[in-house]
Amino acid sequence: MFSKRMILVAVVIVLIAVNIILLTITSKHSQTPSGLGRGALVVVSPFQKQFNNFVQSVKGIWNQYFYLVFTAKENQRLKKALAKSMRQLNRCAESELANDRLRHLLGFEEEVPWPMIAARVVGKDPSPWSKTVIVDKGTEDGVRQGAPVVIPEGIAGVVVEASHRYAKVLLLIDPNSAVDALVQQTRARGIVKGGGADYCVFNYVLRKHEIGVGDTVVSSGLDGVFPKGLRVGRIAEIVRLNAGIFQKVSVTPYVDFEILEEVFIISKPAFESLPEEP
Amino acid sequence: MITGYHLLVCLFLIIFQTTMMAGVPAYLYDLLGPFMVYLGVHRRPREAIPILALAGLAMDGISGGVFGVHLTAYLWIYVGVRWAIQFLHVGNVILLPLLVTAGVAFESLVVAFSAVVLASSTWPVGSMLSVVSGQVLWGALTGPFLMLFFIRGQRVVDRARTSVLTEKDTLRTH
Repeated sequence: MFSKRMILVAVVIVLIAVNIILLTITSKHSQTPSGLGRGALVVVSPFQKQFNNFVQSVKGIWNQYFYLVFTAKENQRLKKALAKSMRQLNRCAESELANDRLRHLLGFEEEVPWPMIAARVVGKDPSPWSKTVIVDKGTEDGVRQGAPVVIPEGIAGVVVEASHRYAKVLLLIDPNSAVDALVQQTRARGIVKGGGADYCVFNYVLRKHEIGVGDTVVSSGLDGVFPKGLRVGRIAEIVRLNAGIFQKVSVTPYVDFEILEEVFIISKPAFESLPEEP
Repeated sequence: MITGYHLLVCLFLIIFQTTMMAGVPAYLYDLLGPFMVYLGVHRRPREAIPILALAGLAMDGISGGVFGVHLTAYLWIYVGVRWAIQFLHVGNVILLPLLVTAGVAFESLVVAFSAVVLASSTWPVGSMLSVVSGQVLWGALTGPFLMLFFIRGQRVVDRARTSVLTEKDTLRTH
């Protein structure tokens, strides 16, 4: 009655229907029926976990490595940027300081009635036995031998040698330098000579003159080199000997020779700048 | 080439000690002293004398001390070292530093003597001892290392010269 072919088709249809029904039923429940799912979990999950760990660690190494490379690159870039900023900051700070110094010098230049040439210290004598500096202005700029060198704080020295573009300045503290000076308050006169270290000695001050520690010593203008009234230093120590007609006086210069960077060279001879007699 | 090297070293030392080391304490010695010892040990008079004369004149020109004192010191260091190496084995680890120290001490004494005795306005004699002893000590500690630098520099220059000459010869033969 039924052919074999018809029976096969009917079985297939029934199986499809049963399958659809089962799917419909299972889709209604959230939990997996019986312990099939749990068994699978127990068997597969440890492998999954290990594999996942492995993948994660590889991924982690991969990511971290590239991250580190990136970080290293970024670090380098940031370091460069920081160094650049530091350089700029340092340049700004230097400019600011130079600006302050130059303003100070400019103010001094306006105050002083003599023509002056601004110069920069470019070298220092390495020998401890002579206190000289080299400045970047020479005869080409109007610097002459014997010209006084000053800064706003006071007398710095005298030009002892000048080439076309450079000049050698003998500092006030060199034992070979001497300035005819007087004490501002009492007008006691003497010769200020370099002491070699950072001090000067004030020679030939008569014992009869009353001078005190802290008094200001200024140039007298009588040496024909330094104009009158330039500050030299302040009296640091006085020794009145029992014998002799002079006192032993030591003077601390107003100029800090360790940080001398810019100076003014008075280009006009001092005797020309002395006030004329009425 | 070697003359260029010597001139460069002199120039560098002079610039270095007049600009970079301007603020250092007084007991730092003249770095050209060990260089003169090096010239005395390793260079013949016709090579060394022009260099030491130039260095001496440059230092005297820059310095505010008695003119000619550096030139004198360098010349006598050179002569002294040439004399000493006739009977001293200067390759010795002890003798070479000793020679450098003696050179630094000699120069220090000559310059100090000129400042304390010869200068128109002299320094107090008491200051001589402390400055000279400090300079000699520093010279003894650092001078031999400087000397080694000079020797190493000379070797580098010699090698470069040899390779240039070899290359020239090779090109000529081809």
